[in-house]
Amino acid sequence: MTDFVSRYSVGDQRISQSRTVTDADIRTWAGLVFDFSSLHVDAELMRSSRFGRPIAHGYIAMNLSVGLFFPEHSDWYAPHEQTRTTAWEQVRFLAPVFAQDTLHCRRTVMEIDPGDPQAWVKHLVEVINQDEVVVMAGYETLSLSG
Amino acid sequence: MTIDPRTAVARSGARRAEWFNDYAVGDTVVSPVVTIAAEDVRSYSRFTNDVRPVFHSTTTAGSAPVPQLFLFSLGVALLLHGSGTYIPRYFVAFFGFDLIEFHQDVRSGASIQSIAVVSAMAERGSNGLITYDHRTTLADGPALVTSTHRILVERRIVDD
Repeated sequence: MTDFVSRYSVGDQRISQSRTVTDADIRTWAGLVFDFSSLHVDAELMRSSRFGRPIAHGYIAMNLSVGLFFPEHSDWYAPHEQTRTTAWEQVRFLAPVFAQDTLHCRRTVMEIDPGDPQAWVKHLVEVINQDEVVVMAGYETLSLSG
Repeated sequence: MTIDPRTAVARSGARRAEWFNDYAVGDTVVSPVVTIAAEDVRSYSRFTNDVRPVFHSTTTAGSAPVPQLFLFSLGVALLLHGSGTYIPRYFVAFFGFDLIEFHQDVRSGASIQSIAVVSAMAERGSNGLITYDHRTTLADGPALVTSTHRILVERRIVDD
């Protein structure tokens, strides 16, 4: 366990690869979780909204905040198969995500607790679009106890 | 993924909340029961690119661990199909999750259900903030993931 903890220092930062969100992503996500809300899939209705077009589910950004770290940073994000999230805090969807936005994720180590048996690390998670706008932010706590 | 039709909600004729004013502390939304299939886990893994081998490792019975964020996201989205009104007509914005806690892992084949209770309400200008305490459980009880989250909804302005 100590070996896993020693991989981190407060202030460590990793930047993920980027990914462009597509209309297909929005519909795929809608199908995965049964969320076909008009806000996300009705272009005609959304044309007259303040957004002017459908917006992606906020959960897409949140879920990509994990997947974007694979495979390049997989050993850093999840050093072993038992790595699991214990909590997220202060998750905020700060700006809408639209189809064709390109997102990446920045994770910063904020706290480390080498406690035995429950070692954990807390990340500040920020999902950022092509204009450097943070569209989602929150804190994820990961258990490092194998 | 299959929805247990016995738990699906018949909405015709049911009163739907539209405005902030239509809610009260204690209002409860109960989702239908859904059974997560191993293929759902693989689809999620392909979508997010969370390609940890553990999500592709199936037992001889064919079950795979359900990624925690998938469990959470699905659990909350199921509330859209629940009794009562989770997101009303005059919804403004999703305010965010103050806290999400994961209590127990599950494998595909599990049947889950979600419940959200309005725990606080606060007026905010022409809108109002509704706080939900949510939990997703196995259909037979134990909590898997819980959250506290808030939505912003328009207030119905009534002339004096």
